[in-house]
Amino acid sequence: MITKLQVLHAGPSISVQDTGRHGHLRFGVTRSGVMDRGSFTLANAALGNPESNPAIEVSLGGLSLTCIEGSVAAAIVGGCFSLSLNGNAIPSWSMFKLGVGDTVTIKPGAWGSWCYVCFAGRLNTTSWLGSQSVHLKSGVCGSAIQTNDVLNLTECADNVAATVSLGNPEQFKPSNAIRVVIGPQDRYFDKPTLASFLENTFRISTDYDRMGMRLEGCSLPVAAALDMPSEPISRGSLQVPGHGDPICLMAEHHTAGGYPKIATVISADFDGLAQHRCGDDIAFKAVSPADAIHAARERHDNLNQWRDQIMLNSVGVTERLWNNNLISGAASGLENDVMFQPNAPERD
Amino acid sequence: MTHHVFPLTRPIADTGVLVEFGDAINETVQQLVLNFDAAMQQAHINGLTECVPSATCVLVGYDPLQTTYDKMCALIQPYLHSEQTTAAKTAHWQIPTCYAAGLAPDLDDVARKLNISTQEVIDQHCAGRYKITMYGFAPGYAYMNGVPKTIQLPRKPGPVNNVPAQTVMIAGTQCLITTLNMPTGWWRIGMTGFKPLDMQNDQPFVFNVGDTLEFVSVSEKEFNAHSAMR
Repeated sequence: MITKLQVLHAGPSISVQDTGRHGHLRFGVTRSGVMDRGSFTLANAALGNPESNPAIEVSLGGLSLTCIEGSVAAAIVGGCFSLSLNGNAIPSWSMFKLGVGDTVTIKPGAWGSWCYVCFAGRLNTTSWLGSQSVHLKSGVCGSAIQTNDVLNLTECADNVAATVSLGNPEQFKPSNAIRVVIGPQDRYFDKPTLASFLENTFRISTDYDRMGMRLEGCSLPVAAALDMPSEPISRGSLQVPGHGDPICLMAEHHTAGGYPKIATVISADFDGLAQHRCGDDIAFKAVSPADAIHAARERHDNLNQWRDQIMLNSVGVTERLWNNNLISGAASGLENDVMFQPNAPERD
Repeated sequence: MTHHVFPLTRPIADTGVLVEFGDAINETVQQLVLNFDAAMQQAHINGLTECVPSATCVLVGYDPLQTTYDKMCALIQPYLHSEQTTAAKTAHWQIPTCYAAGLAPDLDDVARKLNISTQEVIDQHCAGRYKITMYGFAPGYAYMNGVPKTIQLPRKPGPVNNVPAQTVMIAGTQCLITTLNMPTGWWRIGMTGFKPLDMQNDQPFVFNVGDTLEFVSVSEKEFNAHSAMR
């Protein structure tokens, strides 16, 4: 089945993303892909999709889609956005059906910078090097989604009877403590600067997009001449240009650069960092590579548990709702959501 | 800064080992980088995700679910002092380049700043022998070293937007052929019909790090002949 969705409103920096292009950094191709891999994974899992089925990555600019042809099941996961389906509020993490005339609207909510709209179908966009991720800066695989665009989906399934809550976003609320491994160019900074990097808090500036996040509040003067040769850059690198404000390089980073990097954010904390907003305060905690690897494996195991839970719940609930013949759009608010809270904090 | 004994390995969070072969760009260091990179292309190391060479170092990426930093450091040891015999076969390219005014918006400015004629800029650029040291900035952007001293200029104070693909441009010792429409602060001195990035091809990247190039001046008529010679 083919489904067509018309974009009634699209904020800036909204694009089709998947897990990105692997293994082409040596040819200047940044990996790109989603900013928050965990949320993206869960949204696809809810629909029983392949793990890297391309999604729409929605920014704080918000998105409104209306179905003009066909029908498709959709799942939204990521941050705590404010969602509505045909004008009725639905939980921030939801699975629902979009039939002709249905409109879903996503607006910034309590917290979070990115959410993922996944479909039980395939977004019909260009693929390059095994990925449909749009590289906004260069125009590889298209450009940002614009108001009035029509998105085409193929191989669509729509067997979701009613809106289903996919869980409590609170368990994904990012920590303000971001773990890093120091280096590789910490030698460009003197001891007091390195100490202040770990002792002070940084505020995320308005210079935050898919390429990078500029941090303010504690300038880190570079002690040596800025003469290092350009070298490969990794996602999460904290590079410090001449102005002294560290810039964390995000999903769409350049592949090479010549500014010293004081530290690199560990992969387990990257999704959380990406979900912070400009104005949020964060602080860095240094860990060893071994600790960082341990954290990556722990994060992976946790995500697997959440994924299994979300799959169980979404399927189970779908069947229950089918059986009880409940009405679409009648999902409960988050407060009453008891369907999926494996790691929810204790409530008063 | 303290003096180090190269090669040095440094951790990149939980996903990479940065192997440094020197702290300044020179032929010796570049060759060590190319040898190591070539050897790693042949290596079968559990958890290795990719190798990214630059002028002085190689980023060795790994999957933290499969291996560890310490294991990777140990497993790459045998390849750190690889002999040149294992180096990848590099190619030499002749790039047909048109330096006509309409295709070279900065050529006059470059000549004026250097106080030489535009023809001298062209002759010097064609006399240079260039070597690709790394890719960077954008897909297919291969950075070459080797701009003759006589035509070296620091990059412009600010970038110019919408510089088209296949622009030949220079900044300092470096030269580049653009592959996409992107902003740049480099000096645009010509265009080539040759495409270093062919997105329709299964092997879209024509150049390898270590390849050498020279530029051959062609007329505007010949400009569209896509004939780069190996």
